[in-house]
Amino acid sequence: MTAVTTTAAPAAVSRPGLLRAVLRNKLGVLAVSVLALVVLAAVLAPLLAPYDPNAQDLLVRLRPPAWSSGGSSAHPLGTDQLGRDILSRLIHGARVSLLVGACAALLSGVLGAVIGLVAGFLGGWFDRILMRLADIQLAFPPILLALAIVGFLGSGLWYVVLVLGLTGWVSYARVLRSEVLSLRTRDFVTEARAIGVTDPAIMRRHLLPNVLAPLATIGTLQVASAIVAEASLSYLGLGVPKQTVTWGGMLSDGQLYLGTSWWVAVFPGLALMITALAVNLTGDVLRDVADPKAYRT
Amino acid sequence: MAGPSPLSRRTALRLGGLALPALALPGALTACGTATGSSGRVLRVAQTADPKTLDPQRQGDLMSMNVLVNMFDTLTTRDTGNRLAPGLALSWSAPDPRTWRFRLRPGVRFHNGERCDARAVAFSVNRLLDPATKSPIVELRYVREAVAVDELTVDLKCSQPDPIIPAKVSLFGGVAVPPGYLQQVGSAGFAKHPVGTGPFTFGEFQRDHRLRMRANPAYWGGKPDYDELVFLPMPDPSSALAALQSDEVDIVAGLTPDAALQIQGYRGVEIKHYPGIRTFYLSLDTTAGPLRDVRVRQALNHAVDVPLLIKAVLDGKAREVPTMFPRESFGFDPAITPYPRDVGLAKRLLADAGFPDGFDTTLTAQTADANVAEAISGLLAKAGVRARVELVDTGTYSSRLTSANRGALGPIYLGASTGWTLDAESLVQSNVRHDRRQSRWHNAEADRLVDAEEQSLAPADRQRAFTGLQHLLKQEAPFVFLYQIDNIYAVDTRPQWQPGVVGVLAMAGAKVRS
Amino acid sequence: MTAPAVSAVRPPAAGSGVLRAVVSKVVTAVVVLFFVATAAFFLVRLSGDPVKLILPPDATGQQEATLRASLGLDRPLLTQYLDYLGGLPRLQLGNSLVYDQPVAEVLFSRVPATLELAGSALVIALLLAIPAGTFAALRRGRAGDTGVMTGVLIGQSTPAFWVGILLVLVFAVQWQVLPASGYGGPAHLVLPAVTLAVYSVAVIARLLRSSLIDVLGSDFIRTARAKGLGTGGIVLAHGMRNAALPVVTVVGLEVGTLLGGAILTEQVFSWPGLGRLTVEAIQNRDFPLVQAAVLFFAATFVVVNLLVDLSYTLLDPRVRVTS
Repeated sequence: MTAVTTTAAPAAVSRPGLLRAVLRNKLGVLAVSVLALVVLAAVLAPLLAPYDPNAQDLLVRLRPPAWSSGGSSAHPLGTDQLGRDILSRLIHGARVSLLVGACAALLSGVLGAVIGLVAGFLGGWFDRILMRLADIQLAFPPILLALAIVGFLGSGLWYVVLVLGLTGWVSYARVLRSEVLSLRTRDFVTEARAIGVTDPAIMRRHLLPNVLAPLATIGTLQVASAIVAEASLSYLGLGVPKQTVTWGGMLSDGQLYLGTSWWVAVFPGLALMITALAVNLTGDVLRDVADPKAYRT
Repeated sequence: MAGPSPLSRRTALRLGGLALPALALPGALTACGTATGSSGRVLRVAQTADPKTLDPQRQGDLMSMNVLVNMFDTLTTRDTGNRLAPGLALSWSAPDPRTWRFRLRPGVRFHNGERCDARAVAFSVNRLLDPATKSPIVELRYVREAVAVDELTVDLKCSQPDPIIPAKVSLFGGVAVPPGYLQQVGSAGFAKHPVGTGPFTFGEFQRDHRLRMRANPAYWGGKPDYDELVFLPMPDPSSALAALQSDEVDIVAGLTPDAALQIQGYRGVEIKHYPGIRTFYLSLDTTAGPLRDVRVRQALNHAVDVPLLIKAVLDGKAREVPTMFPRESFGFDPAITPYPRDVGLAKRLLADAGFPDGFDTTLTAQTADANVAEAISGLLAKAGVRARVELVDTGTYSSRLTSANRGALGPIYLGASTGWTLDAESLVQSNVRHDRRQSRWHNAEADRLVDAEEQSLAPADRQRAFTGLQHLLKQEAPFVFLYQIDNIYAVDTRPQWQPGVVGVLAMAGAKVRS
Repeated sequence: MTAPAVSAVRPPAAGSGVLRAVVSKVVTAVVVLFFVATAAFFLVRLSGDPVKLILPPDATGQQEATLRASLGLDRPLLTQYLDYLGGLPRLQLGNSLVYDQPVAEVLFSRVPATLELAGSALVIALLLAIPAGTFAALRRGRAGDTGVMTGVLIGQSTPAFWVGILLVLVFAVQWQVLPASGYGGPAHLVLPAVTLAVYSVAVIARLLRSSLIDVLGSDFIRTARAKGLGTGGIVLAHGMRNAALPVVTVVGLEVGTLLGGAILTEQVFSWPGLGRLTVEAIQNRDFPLVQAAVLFFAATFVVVNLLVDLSYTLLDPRVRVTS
């Protein structure tokens, strides 16, 4: 984590520049605000949600949103196939979706960054073994890993994070490796080595800052795709247990009702899409700021 | 870095090369597939998956049965009133308690011309029993061997009395396969190109695309009304709907109530539902925790509002059952009524049993039954029983269901049985008598009644045992009794067809408007 | 880590270096496949018991034991494992427990459908992503860039099976212009291929854009610009070539995503491909079929990776020196 401080030092000097960079990008401002709202909703879910997200009312199942005919203001976004309030479920669903997305991306990011840096920079046997490991990992259908884990350990939120983390690291590792491969022969690396800087230090001080941009790009993609992947696992019954509300779970529940009750799947789908979009756009802003080359153009 | 870009262009070509042959190759295959057009009047049936194998003695899943029932015959069959009726056998009797004797229909031939006589039928049953066949068909568990007595008489020799052998051989346990053909082509060849005695002959099978059968003009029951029967796999209901509307398919089978809702109301598509026998229940582990107390188990039965469940979650496409037995099964006693649904009574019983605030438990179900399981959990919550729903995939579920650890599926699980034999015996076969694998209940009287219905041959004695068993089941409540689900189909305007209660897609009796 | 210095003094050795790399990669490929095969063997056995799935729940313990024995699943695990390994070199993968057919037969009957789907999706993805990424990079920071990238991001932020179902509802149910499902002519291919391509378009376009921006900002491009080459010329002559390195990496990865990740797409469209087969096999605990399917994916990966690695050496001379 010392790498962060070394790169943070010059950034701190230009803090106003950072703020300006964020503000310059109107879409970025919007994205950050949306993301902040989603995080706020997740944190305050019990206070904001009008109903218990799991409270059923079988007599009002599949009611449309308030503004369509047949809808009522009691359920602004309608109800699902068990008469549960969709708005309340959306608000509560933000919690798990964000948690799974962030934790899975973090786990795979740390794994992938370390492996990619080491493989790309040290090369040789390290590279071969690590990249073969990546091949083996990629070659494995994630669903087999998920099934083995669920079948052996049981289902649960942290198992989902584990599955997504274990299957997600490869894209970080491979992109980082290929970046490092072309970086390591650059002058600043060979010069650093020539004056006797140790390999770990080169990786930390010279390589990591230069690959932060692709790392951030993939990281944000990974948060979004982890949220989507959670939906896929839930769809196959391998996700977070049903009692925990997730957008992915809602989406796969609603898939069957898309023909007659579009709102069951469309709202969680939209929530998922908007959040993932906000995460991605926020990532773009961060990337522009973090990328040293961005200041040159 | 001074070089121009031919290298990148080369790479682009190489990458393109990966994809382009991939595009061209299957295109050619597809062209061959569609070139062989169909002729005459065709009936096209969609179900959720392909048959797993076409060897009728090596399958046990509904998808395979639905297809194979149209190409093969069994010793007995079910008429339109669901009564046992002659199939390949014209009559049957039990000359002694351990022997069932079948008199065969004369003159029946397999599609390849081979005679379907006593020798062929005995061969078929013995092939089924041979461990080398690896048959998943388990009904004939007490049959030791089949013996051809004369050209048209077959005896099934049992290791212990089995009163419902004639009902069991209306299923694939009683299927006839051609001995000569099997010897000639082997099991693998037989599964590739099956030969039976049934109303349709095998045409072609392109897995994941379609399976075609031709009407058998020499069928002993008369040639079907149309010329070709096609089965198509369609796992997704919205795809099935589109296929119905664009006239790619005539009947969509195997719909869930939810799937049917999605297809309902579209032009040219009709949803039909017929009584079915698949029966759902909650299994309670009576050996541990609060469920040891009979009052708790009764409370759960009072708490689960089955009529509401049927109306709201199953769109009315199911019927409440008093105990484990569907109405159509032999042994069902109409005098026994379902539990009255009463949350207040449920709460009082729980309080009497020492759980005034209810208790926490888990309810395990298969992923496919998620909605029902969650709705039941919601209904139980009204009585104070907080059942966390745990969903497992089918593979995990079945491994745990028959595991040596009878608590493997947790204190409560959602189960379902299809009593194909239409005899109540099948419904309590493996989950009531204390020594059976799925039983979680110890009751000497229940064990005695199961022995009585399984071992006596006289229908009146068996009915008495079943009636006693239903009273006992209701009183002791080792299960929460739920419903029997309808068989649901979506059809266009062309076919006229009345399915049987068992729900297998025997299509020979259908008529097709051209 | 002395290799670069050595080979740098004799660049003509690059050709034989490539050859040596290929040979060593073939050897490691076999090692990878061995580990995948081993992991598949044991993982699938952790996930459950096929006998319980083949037999109905009212089978007796005796019937179970009989079937288990005739399937050979009662033998010691090590015996089964050695048997399985022994069959691999001869491509004897056993019989599917469910389909009752040689596994290779079942598997290869699905390969064309998946190649067709994944190949078309890759072509669609590249056809959309390369112009989109290039356009966005050239218009960096302007409305065109924002528009394209937002569109790309929306595609990426949407679950594939949801896209698929929405497409079915619009094009097959409402407008009835394309078939909803099934395997047949080109019309059947459109919706699944587009659905499958959506995610890859986003991944490739994004990466192409950011690499191009990096390259366009670098000194040699400024030099080229100073020399008077037009923007289009710069992009084609220098930018693409340098930006191609990370993009090729990702395209290589996407081939895998397309092949294996088509699971939900194939499910939604009833597409008879390997993805659906593998899911079903896993769900059925069809051990031999799962093992073979996993191996097939692994083999595909190894080949694609080999091509990707080789393309590095062609695209980036600096890498060639060290490989």
